[in-house]
Amino acid sequence: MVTPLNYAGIQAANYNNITGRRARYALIPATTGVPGVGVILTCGAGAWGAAYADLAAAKAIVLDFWICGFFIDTTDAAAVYELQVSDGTPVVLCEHRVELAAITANMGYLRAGPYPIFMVANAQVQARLGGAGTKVLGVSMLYATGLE
Amino acid sequence: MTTGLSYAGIQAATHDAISGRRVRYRLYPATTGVPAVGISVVSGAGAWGNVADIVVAGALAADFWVCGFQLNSLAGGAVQIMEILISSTGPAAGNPGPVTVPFLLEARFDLTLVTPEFTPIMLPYPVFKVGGSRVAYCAGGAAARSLAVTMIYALGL
Repeated sequence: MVTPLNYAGIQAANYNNITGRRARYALIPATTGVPGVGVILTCGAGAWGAAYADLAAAKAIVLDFWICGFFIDTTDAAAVYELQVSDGTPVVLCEHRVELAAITANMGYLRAGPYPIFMVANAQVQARLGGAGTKVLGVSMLYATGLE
Repeated sequence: MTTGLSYAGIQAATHDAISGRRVRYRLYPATTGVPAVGISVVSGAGAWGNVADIVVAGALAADFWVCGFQLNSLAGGAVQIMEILISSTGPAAGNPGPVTVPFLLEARFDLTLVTPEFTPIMLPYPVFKVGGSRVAYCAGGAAARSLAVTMIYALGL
């Protein structure tokens, strides 16, 4: 439930966010003990690749949630990517430039931004990839539920 | 729309920011599928180089928040140690630094051949800029090196 904009509610929400109370982080696509490669995205050569692909299909996450970041799995080394995430309408929620070389094939958590991005329950989240050449990247989304 | 500095407005803006409501992050310069190289700047050799504009005045009409930066080494991973200053005032583009005005960010980067990938550099707190503001930077280094900077900004906080 979204806390209404009254003073007590704001205090409670801020307190809960800063202290991490009720924050629960999960990956989507969900994994079952094996590290997830994520959703495979292909970038175009000098353009956006294929149409937006679902990181979270509509109704896949039934609670209000916050997009916190992304994990990236390169199956194609030495590439420069642009990752763009939208809400499916498509309004762009965030975008990042990712530069990977062969010797840095693994990459850590990519923060969405200083603040997580709020999405209502059942919202769709999609992503697409651009690049100088045709390359492939696996993307998993880290999201939180229960911040409020 | 800029939230006014009323108590209720501050409450609402704080709530929106921390809870992530209406946050949208974008890159500047804007890209269209090809990863942005960013705005190029050359560091001076043992001094500040010339100032370059990331965002020229008036380019972003709406209020925005400076959230972070992404770097691109134009030198192909050559060893370089640079320091950058980011500000919204100071000398016009093309003129020498330093920018003797309040900085939005001062940071040091040590880039070598084995660290060619750059993850976003996020500021702990976004820096608010009114619509139409300029964002400029200059770089310093032990030697003249090139670096490109792309800004991550947010709308809608």
